[in-house]
Amino acid sequence: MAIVSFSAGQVVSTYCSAHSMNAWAYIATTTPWRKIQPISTDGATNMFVLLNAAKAGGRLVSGSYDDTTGELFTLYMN
Amino acid sequence: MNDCLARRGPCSIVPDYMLQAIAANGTAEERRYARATLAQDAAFRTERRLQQPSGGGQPGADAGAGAGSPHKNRRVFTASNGTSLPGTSRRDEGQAATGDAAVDQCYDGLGGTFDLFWDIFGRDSIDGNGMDLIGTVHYGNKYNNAFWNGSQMVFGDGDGLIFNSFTADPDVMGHELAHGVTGATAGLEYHDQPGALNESVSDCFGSMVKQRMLGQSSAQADWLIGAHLLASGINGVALRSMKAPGTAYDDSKLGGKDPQPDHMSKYVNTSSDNGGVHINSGIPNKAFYLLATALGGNSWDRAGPIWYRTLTASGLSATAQFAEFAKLTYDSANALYGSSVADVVAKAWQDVGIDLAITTWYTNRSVLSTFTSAHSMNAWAYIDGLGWRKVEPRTPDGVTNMFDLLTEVQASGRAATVYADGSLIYQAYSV
Amino acid sequence: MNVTLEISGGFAPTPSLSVPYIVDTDELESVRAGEIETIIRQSHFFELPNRVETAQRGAADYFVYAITIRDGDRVHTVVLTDPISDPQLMRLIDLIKASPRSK
Repeated sequence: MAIVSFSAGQVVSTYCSAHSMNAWAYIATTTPWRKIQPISTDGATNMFVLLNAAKAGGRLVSGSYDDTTGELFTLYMN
Repeated sequence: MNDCLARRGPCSIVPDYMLQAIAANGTAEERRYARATLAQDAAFRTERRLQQPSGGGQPGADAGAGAGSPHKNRRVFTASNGTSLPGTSRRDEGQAATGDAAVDQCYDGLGGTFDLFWDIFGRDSIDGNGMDLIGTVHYGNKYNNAFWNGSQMVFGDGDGLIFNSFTADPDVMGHELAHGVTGATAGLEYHDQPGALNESVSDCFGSMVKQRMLGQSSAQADWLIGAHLLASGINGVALRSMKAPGTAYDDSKLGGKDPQPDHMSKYVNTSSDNGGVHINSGIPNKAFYLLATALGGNSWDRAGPIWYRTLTASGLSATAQFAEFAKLTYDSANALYGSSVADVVAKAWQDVGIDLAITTWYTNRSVLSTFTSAHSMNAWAYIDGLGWRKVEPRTPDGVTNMFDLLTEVQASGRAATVYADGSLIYQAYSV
Repeated sequence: MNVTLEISGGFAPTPSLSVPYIVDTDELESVRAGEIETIIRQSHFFELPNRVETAQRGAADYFVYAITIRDGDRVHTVVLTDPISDPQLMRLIDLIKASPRSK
């Protein structure tokens, strides 16, 4: 397992259902769809909040993901 | 009864039990006539059975099967203010106008109805097999009504105080013949919700007949049933309004106000009128009006075919409730014209209080409003074209995630694609 | 005799339609009263079945007439639908509708 960084990514789309910790994002530079790492409910929500705000505000995001599971680990909004 | 028997000729409509009683117990002359009438009735019924289309009440074969030339054969009779049917022949197909307004109006209305069903729906007459179109006018003494007796139309002259002649409006004729089409196809039972659907279907096709004869688009039409039937001096515009059920009349001579509801929340539970079949028809009537006007153009362009397919080719049951009918109109619209038209159908039903509860994706919708309180998992969004939906209260963080997505979509003026049904949102994408 | 006629159904049932006609033959003038009583007798009204249903399958918008007659301790209701096949009963209905209502 390797942690991969990315930067200046445009949030193209986000997705969730009402299930716990089932939140995803499609970030342009890091295709395909990535699930937010489901390790805590409030944490997953915080990350999802950031992604939705970035999309709404037209801002870019940076962060990291796990290249085996594809899951998003960390995020910055620039 | 003595009058009937004294006439030379059969009284083919005296019920059998009376004839049999007379045949057994009457005077010699009465017994002779009763026996002759019973014999003639039997012969008449056999002949009519041979003329009937097979499988009455089953979905009729559409004239796609009988392609080629349709068989338009109008036969207009007068009952001469009696109640014998069909009465005396006054005008057959192709004959010139008679100068009797009721006869000629009936003839024209039968023609307009036949033409709608053949030109637009490919249906050869009521049964799809070119059966004769029979109408009797001048029925009864100042008879304030028109009806379909199961095989022909019957019209009264009205009393002139409350009602004019029931032949004055082509939508009345279309309405009555459409009862024949319903009887030959879905066979919606004439009581409660299926009966109200039966009535509504007749008003819908009757309106299409009138609008087509007058060359009116949905936007131009008045959507009134029997607009010329109320006598002058009566406070009202028609017998029914499809556009605004409940507003057609308000006059003490009619006993008060038009009783039709325009929304499911006002459904009338009653035992009269076979469970309110002419009353609650207001609800599906309005749905059809909303659909036709939302789609634009003529009511028979797309709204009509959707309704026709629902009635004749969707598996509509004879005991269908409003919800089943509505769902089948949605399916028919989808099959004929695709999902964007089906969505318009769903909205029309929603506006009269019938949620189709179709769980499906609603794409590229604006989020017009959002709502929440401090209660756990109490988050709502107003989705354009759908209305208020609650975020499925499955998990606290799941609800928060969804609510966050929707509020951001709203704030940014962008769109969401949601997976929802009549009450809940289950999934969402920000687009 | 006390005669009640309730009409329902029709192409456009209006609220006024649901108000029953109630006639007491004792209050009518003698010719009218006589005609009504003659029809009731000649039609063997009290022996008629409760439902004289002539409406065919698929029929719609027809009137339904419920005639109830009380004569002493006899009471009987007959329900008919359009088209009314018996001219006597049709005449009875017309007479009831045309008579002044019972006080």
